[in-house]
Amino acid sequence: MKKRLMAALLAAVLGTGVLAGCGGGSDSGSAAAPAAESQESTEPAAEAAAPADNGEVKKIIVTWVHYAGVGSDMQAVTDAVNEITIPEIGVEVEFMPMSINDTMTKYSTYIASGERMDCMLLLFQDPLQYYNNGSLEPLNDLLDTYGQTIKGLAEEFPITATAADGNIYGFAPVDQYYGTQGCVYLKGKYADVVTLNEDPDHVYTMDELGEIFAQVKAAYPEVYPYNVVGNGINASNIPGLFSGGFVTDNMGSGVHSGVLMGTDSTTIVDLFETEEYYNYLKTVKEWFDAGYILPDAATTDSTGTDLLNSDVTATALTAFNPIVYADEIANMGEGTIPLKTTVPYYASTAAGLVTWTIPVTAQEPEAAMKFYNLVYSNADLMNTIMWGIEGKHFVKTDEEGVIAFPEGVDASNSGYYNTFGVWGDRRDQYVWDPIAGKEPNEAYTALTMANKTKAGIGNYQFDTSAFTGQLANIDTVLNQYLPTLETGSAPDLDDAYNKFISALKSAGIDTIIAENQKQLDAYLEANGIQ
Amino acid sequence: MNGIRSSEEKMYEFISHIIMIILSLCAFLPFWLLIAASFTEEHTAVREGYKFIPSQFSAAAYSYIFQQWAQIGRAYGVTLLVTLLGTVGSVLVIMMASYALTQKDVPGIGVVSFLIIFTMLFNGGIVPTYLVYNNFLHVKNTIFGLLLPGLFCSAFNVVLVRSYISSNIPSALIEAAEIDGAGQFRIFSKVIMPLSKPIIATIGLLNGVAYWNDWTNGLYYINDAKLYSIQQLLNEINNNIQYLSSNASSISGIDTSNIPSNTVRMAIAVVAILPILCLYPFFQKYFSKGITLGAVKG
Amino acid sequence: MASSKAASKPKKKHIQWKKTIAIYTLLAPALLYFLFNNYIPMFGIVIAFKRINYRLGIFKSPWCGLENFKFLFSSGNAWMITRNTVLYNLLFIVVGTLFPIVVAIALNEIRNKFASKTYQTLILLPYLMSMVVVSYLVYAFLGGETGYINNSILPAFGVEKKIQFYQESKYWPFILLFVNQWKSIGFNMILYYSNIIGISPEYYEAARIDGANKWQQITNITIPSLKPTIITLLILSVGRMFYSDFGLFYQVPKNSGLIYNVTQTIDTFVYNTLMNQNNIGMSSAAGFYQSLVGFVLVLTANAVVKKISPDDAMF
Repeated sequence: MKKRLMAALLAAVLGTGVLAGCGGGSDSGSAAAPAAESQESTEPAAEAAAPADNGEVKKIIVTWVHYAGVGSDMQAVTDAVNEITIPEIGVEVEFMPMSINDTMTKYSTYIASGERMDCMLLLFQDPLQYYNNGSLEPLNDLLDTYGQTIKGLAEEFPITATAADGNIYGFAPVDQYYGTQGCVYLKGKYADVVTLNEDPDHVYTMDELGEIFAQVKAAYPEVYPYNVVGNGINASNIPGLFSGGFVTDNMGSGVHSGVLMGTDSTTIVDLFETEEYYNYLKTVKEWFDAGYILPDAATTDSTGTDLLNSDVTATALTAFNPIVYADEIANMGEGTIPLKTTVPYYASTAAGLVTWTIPVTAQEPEAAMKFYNLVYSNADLMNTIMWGIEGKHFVKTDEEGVIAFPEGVDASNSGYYNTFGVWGDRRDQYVWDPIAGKEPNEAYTALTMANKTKAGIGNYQFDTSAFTGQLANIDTVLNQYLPTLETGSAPDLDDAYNKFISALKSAGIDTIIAENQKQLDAYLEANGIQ
Repeated sequence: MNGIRSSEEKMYEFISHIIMIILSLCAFLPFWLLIAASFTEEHTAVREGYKFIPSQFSAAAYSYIFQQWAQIGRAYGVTLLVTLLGTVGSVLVIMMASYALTQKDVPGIGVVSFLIIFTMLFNGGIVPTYLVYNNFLHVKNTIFGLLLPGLFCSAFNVVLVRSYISSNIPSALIEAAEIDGAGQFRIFSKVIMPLSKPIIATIGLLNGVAYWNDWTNGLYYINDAKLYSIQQLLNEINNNIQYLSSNASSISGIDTSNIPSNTVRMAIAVVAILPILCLYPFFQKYFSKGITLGAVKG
Repeated sequence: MASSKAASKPKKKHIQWKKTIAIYTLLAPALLYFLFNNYIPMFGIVIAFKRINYRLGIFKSPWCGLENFKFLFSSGNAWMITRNTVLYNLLFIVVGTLFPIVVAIALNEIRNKFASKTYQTLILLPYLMSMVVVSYLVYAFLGGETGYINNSILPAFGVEKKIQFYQESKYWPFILLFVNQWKSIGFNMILYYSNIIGISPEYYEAARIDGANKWQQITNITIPSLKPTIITLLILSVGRMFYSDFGLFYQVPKNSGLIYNVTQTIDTFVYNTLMNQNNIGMSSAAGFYQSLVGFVLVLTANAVVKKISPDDAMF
């Protein structure tokens, strides 16, 4: 009796189709049909009775990722978006708000259970994992038919994410700028006590930085000038890369699979084994001993920003570009000084941190692609999603492309301000500060593009799909040692460093670098570079 | 009674007081530190660490939290309701099952015991569980989404209570009631429940705290802000403030330097703990002694 | 369906149907719950052996043998994390059994109702805090620069050199044990206390009349009556031998790399390795491995108990 009941229950669960296979577009057999139907319950009549009429409006569900809740004007903005999309492409958009933390855990459960999402944003997650486990639709055909604008932009910018099988599974927004430059930002209030190079583009050496820190320390003994903290250091965020004066290219993968040092090199090396990096660690250790770094840096609870805001520390370590520069001024106050540590350069860039996809649970993949294409081609649509309704959430200023809050509105009471800059062609995105405007960004991009690494020419990407297990092991080693080493807080640097290097080796970094080198050599030869 | 108390007993009591006072201090001082930290001015807390007496007092953390009072009030209500329903319901179900498992003369009970303990050892993981609750039981965005998944009835509780019943309630008592012609439901409600007050209070506390502190069910099964529990809401405020304080510069116009991110964490912990602390005396009165066999027999 | 128990008692071959139905009715809600909450989702165990492809569905995804298990053993840390997990569990089982019993007995000796209730409430406080908050409080004491021990306590004893707790392994076994007991004592004590106050006072009175002193009452009445609970909890903790409290081992030591050798457990290792991977195959594999070991240990422990004291066996 019980057994039969169990069997019946299992059958009922199986009958919902999730185990047998899910996904709107794919032919998952008859078992999937009930699931698809039950998912559509929001609008069953409209979907079922629709004739193949060209004037029909298709509804799509688009994830809307936020970090601080949904403002009160979400519906008004959705209506404004639909005022553009319905007449243009016959698509009605419904946003599905989700906090960034939720996206980390919820997407897999949603996809496994057949929950409908037509446009899905992967933010700070590895999209290749999603593609490899069958969560994402390949987009090549859809792009050919409905995504002409995106295709065009992809020829110019590294925005598409392509799997080893040649399928495109996602694309990133077009950034406001491309390229990078190492930098240490010094808070403006310390400008009086330090001696700076007169040339604003001067590239500071570690020794010169040390002298500046010494001057800050002498004038403000309670301040720790160099702002590195362990909680901000991990395999994907290595502050030393910004401030150590390294020109590196990690070929779209991360330092765990080796880097090219400098713009002329075609030899992939383990960054951490280089003399330059060891010297950097030695300098940091000297700074730690000299009191330029917080003694608790490796384990403190406070973030680097907290410490900077509380005047415990004096600097911020991040890349230099017009956008970040404007941000740092907003954060650290007027007079913030960018101490550049490298020249501007362009390294091979992966479209990985921000990826728009169409998951297998989408029911209107064609409408989803039409919507994507419109976001990339229609700046009004993009700016409406990004900043809300003109006059209500922002007003235009005299300067082209620069906006401000309307009277009486600010970030804390605006009904719409919480989305990320992840939409469409961001070169046309309105900015709040002219420093971050279109012209400075274009000028910056021109500088970096004139100074490409060898892998940056043509944007070579290391195909890591065969090594995910080993790379995870290497990341674990990096996460274990870097917070201590990069804050200079290892009591015995050489001992910790030797352990670190041998742990990297036993995690298999050498085999990965060798494979990377093999792929790069083939790529360089095929493309006739050097 | 007093006359019987020997000096030996007084010594035992004295030593007991000392043990308990040391433990109480160990528990209370960090709690005091938590409260003090939540009232410290943010920059002072970052510069000097947390102090038992804040060197610069500030209630900014609380005013930040209570900006969202309307939602917080509602979330407290949801949590209270879920905790109440969940605790009462789960205790009843656990008690019934545990008593049943002590009746070893009923055929199949040994197998059932094993099947229940087995659930403690193996589980299918979050994705299959989500599939069952979401696609089959449709608990999403209902109060059952907060009540049922994972928390409602744990094998651990059942095993604990079973062991309590079989060691503290003499089987002779149950057999006597059976001979008197009492049915199982009557025995359960008139004999087992009254004699199990201390363990009921214990697992009531265990489940009550679990329901009160839970935010993962909310994460998976609740999208509707009206059904947010207090922990889910506090967790979200916490995540948002951590995010804002480290990344807010990507949207201009926010002054990030005065967001009390460190002290808010502390204030959130206080806000989450205090109500359950107020409810605790309610449980305590069930830790009463002096249940004598004679009283029940009569 | 006849259980071994019924079979071994030929006299009682006649099944009391009325009682049986009543008992199963009492069990029904719990069984139904376990069916949905535990047994149906258990099909997910196959995920550990599959290369998941959502397009095909869980059942149709290709099998991949033990591939998902490889990462557990290929890092070179397998021995260290297993050793740490097992040793800490053993330590917690021994101390976590004795200490709460002592405290529960002590609490039971206190006659003043108000004092007793106050103590109970206070020592429960840590149990109500989340591990994340606990980790901030621990840091407030141990922090190298601003911590209490380095700023107030050590100087009071004339020690000037600051201890960098988060960088030195030797302190952590003790710190973790302390935090574990500090946090759980409030509840564990109540667990035993509720059993102690459930003991009929008549036993104690009888013992007193027989001239037993306090110590004899404790060893001859209190502790034996706790035995079933102690054994049950012991068997259950044996089943959790390969698991660890993630918050305790990850948040409290601040995931500090220099002390991994004494803080890294199977759970923190799996988390550190898979955090950005979103790979349910590998995480299911780790869970299955822990479950399987637990299952074997529980069966063994139960069999041992069954030999020594058959009434206290769990099944």
